[in-house]
This record gives sequence, C-alpha cells and structure tokens, in this order.
Amino acid sequence: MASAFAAAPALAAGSNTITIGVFGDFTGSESFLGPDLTKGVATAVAAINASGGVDGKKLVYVTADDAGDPVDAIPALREMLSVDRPAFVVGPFSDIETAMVPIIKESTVPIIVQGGSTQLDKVTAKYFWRTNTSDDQEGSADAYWAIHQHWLRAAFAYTTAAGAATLMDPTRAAYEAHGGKVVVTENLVPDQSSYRSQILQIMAAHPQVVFFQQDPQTAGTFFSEVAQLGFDNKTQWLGTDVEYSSDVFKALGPKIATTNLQFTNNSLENSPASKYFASWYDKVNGTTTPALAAPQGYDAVVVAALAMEAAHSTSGPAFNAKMLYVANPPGIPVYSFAQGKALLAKGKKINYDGVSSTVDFNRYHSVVGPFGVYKFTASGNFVQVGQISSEQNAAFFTPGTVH
Amino acid sequence: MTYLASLLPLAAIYGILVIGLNMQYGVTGILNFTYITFVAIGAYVTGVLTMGAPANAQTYILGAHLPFLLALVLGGLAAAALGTVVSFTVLRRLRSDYLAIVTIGAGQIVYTIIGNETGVFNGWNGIFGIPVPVPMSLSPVMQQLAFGLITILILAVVLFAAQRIQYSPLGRVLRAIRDDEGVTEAYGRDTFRMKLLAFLIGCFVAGIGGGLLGEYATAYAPSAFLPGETFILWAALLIGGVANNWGALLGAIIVPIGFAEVTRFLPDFGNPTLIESLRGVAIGLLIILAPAFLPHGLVRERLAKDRARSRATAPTEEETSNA
Amino acid sequence: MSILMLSIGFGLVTASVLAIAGVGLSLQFGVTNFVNFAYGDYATLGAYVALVANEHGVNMYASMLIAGVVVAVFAALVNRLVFRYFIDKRVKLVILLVVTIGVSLVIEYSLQSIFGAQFQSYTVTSPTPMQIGPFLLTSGQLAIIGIAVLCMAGVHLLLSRTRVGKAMRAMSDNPALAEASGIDTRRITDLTWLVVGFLAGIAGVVLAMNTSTFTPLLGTFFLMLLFAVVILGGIGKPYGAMLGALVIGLVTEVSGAYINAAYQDAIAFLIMIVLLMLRPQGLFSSRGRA
Repeated sequence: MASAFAAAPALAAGSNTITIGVFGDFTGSESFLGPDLTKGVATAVAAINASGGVDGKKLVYVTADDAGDPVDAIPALREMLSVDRPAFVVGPFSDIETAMVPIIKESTVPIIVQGGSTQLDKVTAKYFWRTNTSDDQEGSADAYWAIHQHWLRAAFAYTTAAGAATLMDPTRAAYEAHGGKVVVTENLVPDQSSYRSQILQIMAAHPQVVFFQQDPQTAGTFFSEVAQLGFDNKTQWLGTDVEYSSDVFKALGPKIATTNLQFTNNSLENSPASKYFASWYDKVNGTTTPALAAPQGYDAVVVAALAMEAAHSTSGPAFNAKMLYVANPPGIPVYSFAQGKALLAKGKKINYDGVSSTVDFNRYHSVVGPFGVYKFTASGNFVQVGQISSEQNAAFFTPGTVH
Repeated sequence: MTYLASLLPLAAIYGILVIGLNMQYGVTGILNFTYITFVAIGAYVTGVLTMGAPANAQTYILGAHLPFLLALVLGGLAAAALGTVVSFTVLRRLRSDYLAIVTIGAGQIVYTIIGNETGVFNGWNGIFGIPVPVPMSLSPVMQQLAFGLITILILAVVLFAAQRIQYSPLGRVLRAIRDDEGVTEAYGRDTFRMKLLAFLIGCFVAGIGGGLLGEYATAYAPSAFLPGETFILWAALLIGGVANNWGALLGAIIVPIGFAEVTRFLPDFGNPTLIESLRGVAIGLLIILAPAFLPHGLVRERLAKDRARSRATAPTEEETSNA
Repeated sequence: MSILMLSIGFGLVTASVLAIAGVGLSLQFGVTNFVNFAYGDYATLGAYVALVANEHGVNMYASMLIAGVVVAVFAALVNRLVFRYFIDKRVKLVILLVVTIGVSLVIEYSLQSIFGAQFQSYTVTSPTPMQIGPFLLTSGQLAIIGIAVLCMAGVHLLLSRTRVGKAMRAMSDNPALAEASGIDTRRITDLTWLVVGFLAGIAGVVLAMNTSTFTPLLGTFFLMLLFAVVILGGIGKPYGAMLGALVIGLVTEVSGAYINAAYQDAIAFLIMIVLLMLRPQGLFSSRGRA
C-alpha cells in the first residue's frame, strides 16, 4: 500500500552533527533498494566518523521511503529536504528518479541519485550528481561481453519494472549493431507466481545467452522454475548490476546462483578502495558481500564528505562547488576518506577513486564505467571473470550515448 | 517551508477525492473498491493533455497543450467514460460482495493494460514532467501556496455541487436506493439509471481530483494506483462521516494528511519500514473500529428532519439507515 | 515435449494451489454468506507460520500442518471477536465487507512489521524435474497436487459423511430453513471457520513453495484469482470451486504460452466478470444466488 506515509522522522541532529538523507524504496515492488543503499551509506558514515568526521563533526543519516511511486515520492522528498534539512541526499533510484527532476532542479543541496535512467544523461542541474552509470553504458557492456564470448543468439528476460526498459534498449541496440541476433523477448511482470510459460517460450528459441534484469524476488521465482524445467545448464544467463547483490544470492540459493550465471556491474573489484570498503562493510553489516547499490552509495557519501572538507563548510552551495575538485583528475589519487582528508589538510588537490567506479564525473555530473563481469561463488561472494575497460566499452556505444 | 505549504493542495485534493467517494458510497451505497483507478485516469488524461507531444523518450496518446482547466475537465470526463464501461458490470442488481469483487477485477484489468501497453501512458514507467499550472517564476513556497489556492477553489466548487446534489430530489432518491433498493424500485423509480448517474458523478469527481493529483506530483505511474490506495480513502470516509460532505473533508484531513504527518514526528525505531507498517496496521484497525464505534463517522448525515427549521416535534422514527 | 502439454502440466499445479484455497473460500462464503476479503491474508499468515517453523528446523510438511492449525484457530478467533460483533448488530453487508478489508490490512501490515517488507523463502533443496508422461514436474509439484487431492477428499468426506458437514451444506443452501430445523448455526459457523482457516493455511504454504520467494503481499493478489475460481464454480459450491480451480489454473498457464504473459491473470478476471454478467450463479450451479 503506497500511501502518504512516506518519510521517517529526523534523528535529533545537533549542531555538531551533519545529517545525510537516504531516499529510496523501502516498500513497494523494489523494496530491497532502500535498505541496500542504506547499508552502503552506513558503511561510509562509520568509516568517516572513525576518521574524525567532517570538519570535526560526526555524520548521521536519516531515511525516507519513496514507496516506488512518484505520487508519494514527491511529498516524501520535499518533506526530507524541508524538515530533516540534510546536507545532501543519496538516492533515489531509476524507478522514480525521472519524476524527481523538478525537485532536484529547485534543490539547494546536492542530490546524488542512484539510478541509471538514460533520461537523466543530459540533465543540467547544478545540484544533480550521479554515482551510478547510465544504462546506456551498462547495456553496451552487457552486449560487449556477450559478443566477445561468441554468444550470438540471445533472448531477453527483463521484468517490466519501472526503469527497466532504459537498460534493455541500449543493450539490444549495441548487441544487434555488432552482429548479435535477438531471437525472443519475454517481459516479466514482477512478483508473479509463475513464469513457466514464458520460460518455455525462451527455451523453445534456443538462445545461447539470456540477458536479464530482475529484482531478487522475481529472480527467485523465475530461476527456481528454470531449474525445475532443467534449463539452467543449457544456456548462459547474463544479468546486470541489480544481480550484484547478496539479496539475489539469497533468493536463488547456492546451487542455482552458481549455474551458468554471470552479471555485469560498474565496479572496480580489485581497486585499492575495495579492501578498505570491504572491511568497513563487514564491521557495519556483518558480511563482505555488498548489497546492491551499497558501493555506489558509499562512494557518494565519501565524495560529498571530501567536498565538505575541502570547502570547510556544510552549506550546499559551498561544497557543491568542490565536488569536482575532490573527485575528478588531475590530483593525487586517494582511495578513502581518511586519505583524502589528510591530503586536503596539506592543501593538495585530490582525485578520489572509489569502489564502484573511479568516480570521475562527466560534464553532466554522471560517472562513467569501467565494468566488471562477475559470478557468484558457492559461499555467496563475487569473483570477477572479466573486465571491460571504459575504452572498450566506448567502442561499443550506440550513437548518442553520453560519456 | 515548502513542505508545509505543499500540504495545502494535498489536503484539498484528498478532500475532493473523498467527496467523490461519498457520492458513490455514502449517498448511493455503491461499493466501489477500485475508486483509485478513476483517479488514475483523471491524472493520466489531464497530464497528457497538458504535456504536449511526447518527449524525453516517453510514449503516450493524446498529447496536447490544452489550458489547465480544460484538461482537468476532460480528465474528469475520461474517468466518467471509464465509469460508463465499468458500470455495465457493476450496477446490475448484484449483491454487494459481487460488486466489490467485480470492481477489483476491473481495476486490475485496467492496471495491467495501462502498465503493459506502453504506447498508452508510457507503461510501467509512467508519465513525468507534467507542467504545474502556476508561474515558475515564483519561489517554491509560493508555488505551493498558489497551487493550493487553485485546488481550494476547485474543492469549493465540488463541495457546493455535491451538497446541492445530495439535498436535491435526485439526492433523496439516491439515498432511498441506498437504504432499500427494492422498495425504491417498487415505487416506480428507475434505480439503474439513478445509480448510474451517481456512479458517474463520483467518477467525474475522482477524475478531477486525480488530474490535480497528477499536477501536484508532476508525474504519475501505475505504482501510484495499486488497490491499497482506495482503502485510505475509504478509511477517511468512514471516519469522517458517511453521507456527509463536510465529514468527508474532515476524514480527508484526519486520515491521509493528519495521520501521516503526526506520525512523522515520532522517534525513529526499528527498521525503516517499521513505522510505515505500523501505520498500515493502524489504518486497518481504524477501518474495523470506525463502523463499530462511529457508525456514522464523526459527522453524521444531515437528515431531512435536521434541516427542517419549522418542525418542533421530536422525530417520529429513529434513523436506522446507517447501522 | 510440446509447450501445450507442458503448460497443461503446470496448469494442474496452479489449479491444485487454487483448489485448496478456493474450496475453503467457497465453503466459507456459502455458510456465512459474506465474502472475507482477508482470506488471502490468512493464506499469507500460514506461509509465515511455516517459515518460522521451518527456520527452527521443522520439516516442510510438518510446518505445513502447523500452519494449517494456527490459521484455523486464528480464523475462528477473528470470527468470534470481530465478525460476530457486526453480524449480531445486523449491520449492512457492505459494512461487514469493509471490516474484512480492515482485517486484511491489519494482518498484512502486522506481518510486515514483524518480518519486514523483504522477501522470504523456505530452505528447501532445489528440486530436479521428472518426466511424468507428457509433463515435466518436480517432486515438490507432485506433492502439491497430492496435497490438493487429499484436501479435496477430506472436504468431500466432511460434507457428505459427517453431520457437521451436512449442517454446513444445509446452512449454505438455505440459512433460514437450517436454523429452523434446529441446527446450531453459531457452532457450525465456528467449525466452518476452523476448517476454512486450516485450508487457507495449507494453501498459503503451498503457494509460497510454488513461488519460491514471498512477501507479506503474497495472498492479496492470490485472492483475486480465488474470486474468479469461486465465482466460476458457484458460491457455496465447494465441488464447483474444485472445477473452477481447474479451469482458472489451466487457462492462466496455457494462455500465458500463447498471448502476452502479462495478461494471463487479467484473462481470469475477464472471465469472471463476463460470467457475473451472464450467469452470476456460476457455471455449475442450478439456482441463482446473485
């Protein structure tokens, strides 16, 4: 029941704390996104506070639920901005982010969105930032991997969730432009009780690879039926960043999750930042396997915190101007808030490279890939099986892709 | 603060919506469990009629740049048109539970069609970028207040019309149908046509409210008209006052607005969804307890005996209709 | 393996799930004369009870029985504490329906408060499919069909062989006459809720097993399909509901193979609506009860 009941109230933030807003889906069909993002934010907050906080102040965060629908999301975001007065907001996701653009445009604090909708590729709003790659890039990466693995017959099994089509179209376009053939497309309504007839259709077309993006709950139902039909070991399954998540592993179970299943994500698995992130993530969340969007959320908070350090201010206009300063080259690469803070204190220009990407914003304040290709291990961790650099990916872009 | 200012139009919009529901249920006794679907049609149609040709990779029908009020009225008419289609199943002499089931089924079909046929209203992503009918040069707070003024004016019109209808001869017949359709038919009234009229009026009002809601949110999507949304409006009506438009307004303020906003200031505890879940439980409890302890809602229906100033004697028989 | 035959096989599984719950709903509707919009949530409750049992190491089938018993008691309690209050006050039917909506919300959001909105699954090993004739089914699915058959047999025996069952049928056909002939309607109603709750609990567990992942909203959508089943079969006609379940189960699965699968459930609703317009008493009923 989406309703007018959307926001969680503010924690008592005193004058020596800085409030961060986390805005995502806590209920509704994508209800895993909000908690997952929060895990990343909480990790960043813990790590930053342990390094002395920002300008001597500790960070705290509050959450608000957008309920996955724009009618409830708009008042909820307004409420968060007016009542909780966060220094910046992390979120929302692609199911409603396009509807939030008017509020983002009138905002006076940075809003670091987490969804890849291509409609936001060319948004020019001063306080708009995005630490999640555009779906154009991810689609291209998916296609690149499939073509280079010689999987030239493909099927699509995306859910119809809001925000899914913006990834399916670029994937298809890039794939077909480079010699791939799409033999069947099945659109899955999320959270249905059975997908068997659609699975049969896919299998009847004998694809070599199936591109898919499904929320964990749908994936659980879908893949257990795939296994019931005995088809999971007859084809390759290639998912997207939604699958880079412990929730998906939990839904599929170890056996299914490790059978011919791979997925892409704009993540630098072996980046210098990731060990630091993994140890803090473990301290805060009790596992080293990050949830979906947690790395991107973590990077968002770290970059904003560094910008606040550099500006010696938590006022929106002041530190918004420093976001590019701390995130983009040139500058000394830093891989954690602590490192960055120390160098800023010495007056050095830094370039934060994060867990989810090098966090280098393009002229539209969005980040660019590289992408890794991963699969699950039997214990639910990720292991990388391939890498697609930004240059390789760029060669695959469909015309008009912003990068 | 922009937020508080934005509550003003939201309250007016919910008021309009509950008044429409009152026309269907409170006055005429029609059980429409998919009221939100008509709200949605109003939101979509008004939205696309003000958005012009599809842009930003959206696809939808009926793009135009009509003036706001005209688009709003057309949105209401579109909702009434859907109501006409639905009413052929809903208004036959079916008992209430069948009616309720059919409305839910019809709503589900409409939801599925709008979601899957992306060419109609941009599918599951919904439409966004609906222009707001106030000058963009105002500050955000002033924009909300200005829009609030517009919605209140429209609410006043709707309220006035609803009151006139309810206490007109037509309204008397509708209430007679609500109380006992068989008897009313025996007296020679064409109950089907009367019910159809009331139903369509309610749908029209729902569409108007929906159009305003879409303007308020500047976006609309299928996730915004899940079946559960209807029940918030039901709770508002039951608590505020069945068959009384002022009660409907009161309910709209208490439930969707007051209830949600008061609980915002509770301290945060448990996981983020806990407070929201508890609110849901409270709504359910309200829906159970209101008919038990407040069978007429907080504001009773005004009956003929209350309105007659000249009657000096005590009422001859107790009003039993709203048990 | 033709797609059609495979779909029919799956349709049988879906029909089994629908049948267990549908028979319960039809029976309850017949005896108590109002539809309980919280029925789907009773099934959800069963699924969560089994989850708790399952997490404590109880095997799946025992968990299912526990779920059935718990929901049975719950259903009887809700009837005593909530529904009876309004029935005794002789409120209009619409009020009672709205109250059942309230019960539905309370159950849903209470489950969400306790377990969260995230999905859950049972810890069961991944099944392997077996070829049974032209169908491809797993042992779990065969078990579901078996459980459905058991439940149908149980209900049949109850209705045809026991005095309680005969009283239920009498109340369903003609409440006034039943009461006049000395049947203790309140007691029979209580027992009906026990039986119906038990069926709902089992159905919820079976449904959750079939979908592998579930949330507190599991039963709400399921309920809408159940309406189609019950209306098809005729209100108060449990045997009709069994056939209705077969029809709806087959129609949804088979149509999904040939048309846009997003509409496979919408087809069920369309059938239901058309039927209500043309033959409100259901396909298998002889007397009108609309």
